[in-house]
Amino acid sequence: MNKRYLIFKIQRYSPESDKNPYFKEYKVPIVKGMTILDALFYVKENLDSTLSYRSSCRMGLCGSCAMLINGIPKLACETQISDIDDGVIELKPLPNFPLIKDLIVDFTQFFNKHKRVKTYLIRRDFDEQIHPKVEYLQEKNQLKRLLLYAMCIKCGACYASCPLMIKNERFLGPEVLTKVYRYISDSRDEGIDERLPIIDSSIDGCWNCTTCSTCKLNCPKEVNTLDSIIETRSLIVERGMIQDTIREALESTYLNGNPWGGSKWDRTAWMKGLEIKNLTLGEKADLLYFVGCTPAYENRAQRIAKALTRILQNTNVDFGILGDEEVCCGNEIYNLGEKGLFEMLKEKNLELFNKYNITRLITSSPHCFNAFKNRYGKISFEVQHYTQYIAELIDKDKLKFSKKIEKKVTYHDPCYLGKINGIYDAPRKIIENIPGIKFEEMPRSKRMSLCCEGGGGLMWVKVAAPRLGEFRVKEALEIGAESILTACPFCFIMLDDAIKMINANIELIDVSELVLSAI
Amino acid sequence: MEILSHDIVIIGSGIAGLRAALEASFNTNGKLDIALISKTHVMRSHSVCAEGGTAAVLRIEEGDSFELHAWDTIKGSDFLADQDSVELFVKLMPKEILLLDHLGILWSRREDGKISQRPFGGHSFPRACYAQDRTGLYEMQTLYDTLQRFDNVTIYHECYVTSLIIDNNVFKGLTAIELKSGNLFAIKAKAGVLATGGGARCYNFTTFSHTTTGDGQVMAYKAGLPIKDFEFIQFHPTALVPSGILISEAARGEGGYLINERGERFMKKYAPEYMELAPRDIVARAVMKEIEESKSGCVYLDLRHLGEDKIREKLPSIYEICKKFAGINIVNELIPVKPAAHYNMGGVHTDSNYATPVNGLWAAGEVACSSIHGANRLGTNSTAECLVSGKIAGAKAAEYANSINEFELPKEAIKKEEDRIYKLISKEQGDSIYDIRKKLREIMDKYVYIFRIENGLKIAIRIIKDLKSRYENASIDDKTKIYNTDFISMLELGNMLELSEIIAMGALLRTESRGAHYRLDYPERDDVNWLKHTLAYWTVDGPKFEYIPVRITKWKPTIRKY
Ligand SMILES: Cc1cc2nc3c(=O)[nH]c(=O)nc-3n(C[C@H](O)[C@H](O)[C@H](O)COP(=O)(O)OP(=O)(O)OC[C@H]3O[C@@H](n4cnc5c(N)ncnc54)[C@H](O)[C@@H]3O)c2cc1C
Ligand code: FES
Repeated sequence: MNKRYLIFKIQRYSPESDKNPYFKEYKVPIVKGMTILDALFYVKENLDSTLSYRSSCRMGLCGSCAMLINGIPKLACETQISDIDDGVIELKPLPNFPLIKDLIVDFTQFFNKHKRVKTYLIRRDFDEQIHPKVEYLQEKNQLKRLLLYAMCIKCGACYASCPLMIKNERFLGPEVLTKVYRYISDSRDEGIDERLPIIDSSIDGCWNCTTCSTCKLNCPKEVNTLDSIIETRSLIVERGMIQDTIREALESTYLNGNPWGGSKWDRTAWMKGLEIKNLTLGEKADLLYFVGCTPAYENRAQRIAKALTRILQNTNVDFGILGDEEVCCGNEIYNLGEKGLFEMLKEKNLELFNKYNITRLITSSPHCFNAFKNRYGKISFEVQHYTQYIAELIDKDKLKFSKKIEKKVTYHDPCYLGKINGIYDAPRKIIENIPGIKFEEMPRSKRMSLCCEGGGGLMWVKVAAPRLGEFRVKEALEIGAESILTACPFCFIMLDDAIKMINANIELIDVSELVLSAI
Repeated sequence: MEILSHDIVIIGSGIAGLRAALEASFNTNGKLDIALISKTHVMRSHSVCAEGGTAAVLRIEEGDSFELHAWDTIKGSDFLADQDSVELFVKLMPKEILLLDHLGILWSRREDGKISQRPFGGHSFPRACYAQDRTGLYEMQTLYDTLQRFDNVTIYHECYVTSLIIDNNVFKGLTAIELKSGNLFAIKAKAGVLATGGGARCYNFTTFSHTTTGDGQVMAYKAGLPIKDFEFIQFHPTALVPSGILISEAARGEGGYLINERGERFMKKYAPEYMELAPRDIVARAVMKEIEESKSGCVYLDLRHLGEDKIREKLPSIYEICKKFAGINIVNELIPVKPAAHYNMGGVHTDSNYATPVNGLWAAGEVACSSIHGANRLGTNSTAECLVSGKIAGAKAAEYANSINEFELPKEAIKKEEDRIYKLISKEQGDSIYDIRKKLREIMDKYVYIFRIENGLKIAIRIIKDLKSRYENASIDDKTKIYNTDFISMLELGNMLELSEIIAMGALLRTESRGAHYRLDYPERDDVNWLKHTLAYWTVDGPKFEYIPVRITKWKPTIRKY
């Protein structure tokens, strides 16, 4: 039988002899069932014994062997080579950790973060705790919930995924915050009052998280890091311990149905000069365009709503809006931990959709899309993000591009579209269909794309500069893009801020605007 | 060389090491200056692999008793266990389970909210407490997390201990290499706890982590301490083919069947009463027999009748492992398994309080042999022993350290170790350590496996001696200081060679079959000549053997039938 070989491109670096990391290629014979770790052992034992990596259990439990495998943090020992069909396999050390040698990074800081946040069970009577007489009881259901947060093996994949780490080394990170919540929510624990003040911080605590979900997506043990952070925020909000800016956004949403402080009656101000059916005035349409608060109220984001409206009109889509009756979808309210308000908004929206017989709707914001799709429970209508809808129009030949746009562009994945809902292709397909366009990916894209830092309610949280948007814009500049595209009103605002902040010579366009300019 | 100083040094951060650190902290109100040192990051210790459970008598009102746990353990050990050690062990265990509960472990629960227990091989009562099939990981988490309470514990992550410093039979400290810098340093301590785990990576087909290479046993051995009963290696009957990853006995505890090529539940031939839940030595031999007869290379574990819900709730790791490592869906497919080297019943000789013959040095966990497992360990008794031995050793070491005055480290010992390390790393152009390692594992699997025979063992010993002399001339390519894994592999190989020699020679000398040690040429247990422990002492020419009697309190050896 012919032996099959694969090329492994492995990052090498020895601090004693190399100035910079470099790649070295190894040709490895592949047998059935072989894992990436097996291949590393093959290299070390047969080709180059100086190659350095960590491993111990080789059964996905000790967390030693996490590394970037073709760009994604994974455990080498539980990644089957046959599951990677890219031809070449590229191995790099985890990012966001200081590099020691080859595939080995420094975990010192990672482990040092545990002590301060009291990641252990706290009881008022410590003496009883360490001299137990009878077992504590624990309900099966409570146990089942805790298990969602507990199966952490400290491999660092979440830490390597977390965009915040790029700018804020002090951030406790997903692993620590999840651990804290795991203890807080344990029925046997009595330490909530000690711990909450420690993590209720936008300097290093739970208000740093953008809920971008990269950590959850890349966790090899499927630990629910994201929910644990949001649940923690809920506990903080329940106790009324919230910053002014968050309080204002929540109050505005409660009173006016939007977090931007705008009046209820100004929700349709953006559409001045546009003729759009208003379903609340008795008009009928096949499709509801759910505008969302940000495109409706935020100056800069209004262009998204306008562009999208024009596209729909140009392609003769029969659509309408809910006018001033539309209320916030609640996605960011949920992310800020205000679950009661979220439930209220959800009821309100479901009532409206029901009242006006909505069977299909599109949103301009990935956040609204996410709320309807994932947080409203079972829904009786079809929901799409506008990029999906436009990609379908292109497929059905209902939307054709007639103008050439000769520009080198790149695309910034909104987290709530890409990582959280797996929609990577639709926007790319739209872009690549435009004649003349030269599209290039940024180094961090799709599953590992960098967050703009606008999600997770962070629009309304005071956080330290620089915002992540600036890193993103620099990344776009580095690949020589003339325009940076995105498909989310939050991303749009954050990137716009970033461009102004660093005075970057780059154009920011929403995908909807690009489409409009090419038809 | 830098010399650091602490009251106690705990070597190894598995369940035993962490438990020792906690006990020493509890008992001194966090005052004692403790060093915890591990060649991996603390939480990457092999103990995270333990799946099935931890044994303890919790439900006397429901029919369990200390007497019964002790008897099961002693019968399981084929009567080689020291019975006073076993009695102490079973009595201390229930508190350990409650302590973990109080520290926050996620024990699986019964409907009434109490800690759940499941059946395990050789135990006549369901007494395995478990946290799904991730018991070791959750135990490690709980202990590690609790340790965060204490400021008196200095953790040395990723420092490889190369030798123990013992002067006039008194423990003084150790030497170690910090991987990150490559620096050799010494720790001076008034008391030490050796908790470095097992060492059966000298086999090829094994459930052990890559890092379980028996360093602690050899450190002690070279420092003059006796290694007890090391010919007794447990072969776990069900390791996944071909990787050797463990499929926990919990799979059988929850009702899984073992079937052969013809679909028969063959255990009815070997242990009609206990069937799949007979002790491991018996099941492993039965499996090997079936494999040899059918020439099939494996037998099968059948979990299909358990149903998806039970599998997902009780055995999620096994589900995941089979899926990820063998592409098998256990809900509707059979799991190919065969026996793999899994546990060292033997270890550094201690008394029933885990004190070694050296003053100021205790041993805990798998590295120690106190001896409760005798010739064959029952499943779930090991993590249990890690807890109990850690507790005892931690307490005794703390007490002892408080009674010792300041002293100086003997300079010669440090110098000698420095020279040895330097000589090893700077050798040029020798044999490849990886070739030697491969050969060693090959012959251990071939000749020193489940079925042993004089001729085979003699061949093995000859080859091991040859490999040892090749090792003397071996060299490595990586000559850098920082995080030199090539060099660590070299040190570990040196240890595995020593241990293999002890195993093979001990096995050759023991002309009987007892527990996990089975001689085809001496198939019967021989209580007249062999109801005794083996002690191996290091000499330049290889191990020197002595024997000591087994301590029998209540239970006279009888025929062992299941
Ligand atoms: C796959 C598997 C599943 C198992 N399941 C169970 C089960 O369900 N129930 C049960 O009771 N038993 C089980 N066992 C056995 C049990 O897991 C082990 O016996 C036990 O975990 C050993 O723990 P320990 O604390 O002695 O050592 P380990 O956990 O092995 O830790 C050893 C420590 O010593 C350190 N160390 C070693 N050498 C050096 C050195 N040179 N310098 C510095 N540090 C060093 C290591 O870094 C590590 O921290 C299982 C074993 C395996 C292989
Ligand atoms: S080697 Fe332990 S997780 Fe991969």
